[in-house]
Amino acid sequence: MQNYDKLLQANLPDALQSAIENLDGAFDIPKQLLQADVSSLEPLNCCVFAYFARDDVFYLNQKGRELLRQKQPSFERKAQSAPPIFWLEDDPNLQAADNYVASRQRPLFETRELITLSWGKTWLHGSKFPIRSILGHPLAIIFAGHEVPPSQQIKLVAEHYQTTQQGTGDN
Amino acid sequence: MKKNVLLVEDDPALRMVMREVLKDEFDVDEADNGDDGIHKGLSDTNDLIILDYHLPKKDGLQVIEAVKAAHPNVPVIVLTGFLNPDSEAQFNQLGASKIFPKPFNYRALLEVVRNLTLSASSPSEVTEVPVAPKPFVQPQLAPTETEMFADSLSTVAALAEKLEFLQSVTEKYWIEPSDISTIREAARCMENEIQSFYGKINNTLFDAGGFNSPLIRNTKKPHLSGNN
Repeated sequence: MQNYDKLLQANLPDALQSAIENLDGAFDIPKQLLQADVSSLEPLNCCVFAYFARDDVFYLNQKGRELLRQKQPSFERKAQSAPPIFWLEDDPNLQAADNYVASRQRPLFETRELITLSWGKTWLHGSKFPIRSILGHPLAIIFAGHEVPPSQQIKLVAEHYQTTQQGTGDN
Repeated sequence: MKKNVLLVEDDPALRMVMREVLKDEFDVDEADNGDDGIHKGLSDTNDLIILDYHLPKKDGLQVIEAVKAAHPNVPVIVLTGFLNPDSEAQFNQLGASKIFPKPFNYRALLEVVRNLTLSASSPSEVTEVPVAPKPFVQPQLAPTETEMFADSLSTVAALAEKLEFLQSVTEKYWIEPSDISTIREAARCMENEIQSFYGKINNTLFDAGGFNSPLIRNTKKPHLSGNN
């Protein structure tokens, strides 16, 4: 879809901005964020998650929780027995984006995240926002975005392989 | 080893959905008319037969009669849209193990197939077939690439199969209301295949190390001097 990125921006609107403003600069210490009112983040039509560090995700909204479950036809649908998995990959490029947001205390738009779930890994496209303390110190980061469409993820993997094959293969 | 299920059903949509339901646990063979159903049903490889009542060439009653005469212990499940009490009695008399009126619950069907195939084989009947060692094949691709290539092919094949099925449903002159749920199920099957595929392929790429996906390269990177 050519205008996919524009659509993404259109879907990350005022509601998200105001939900983030409710949290940003409202608390003294990270622990207080665990009790924050997240009711305005819950219904947003995009995946929102918040984390203190890449291995410390403490919130995932309703749309994000949909990613936890593997899509299944109804005749195979069964209760999930294993605990859900949602973690951020430890990659220097992705960490660099976090460092930027935290150190500059500015949002970073059109960025990506690689999420590990029980059914595999998937890419999200969206924005990262800093959550600061009352005194302006970085407390956490909020990511808001959408899963990159499967067709695009597969195309990009194919492109990756084409590029690496041309460099090393017997062409 | 997987048990063999013969599916005798003339509706390609139903065949496809049932194949999807059964394929993980059973080897499924198919026939789309009564003649073929009898021909395949007479083979002694079937562990269970799922049989539609209304079939072209020969109906379900003729099929079950022929099959049961040759293999009285093979369980037969009958599927039917409309069944009068006489036919039901005939099916029962001919040895039908279970009759499912359409539409039926696929999960319930799978449960019955599991139970019937389990009870049909006593431990003394199970014989171990010696398996010939697989010839060693020198891999031409790196292990990661081989795995991804195999996954890609099987995913494309699974999707092509479901697309063929969708075409068979959507290109009919009339699309029946009952087709809609079948189409939805097929779409969910395809979503499931695709999700499993890219979830795994991203895993494989990441675990292979030296991860330099275009998804990272093409992302707008934070420039410390720029205006993000």
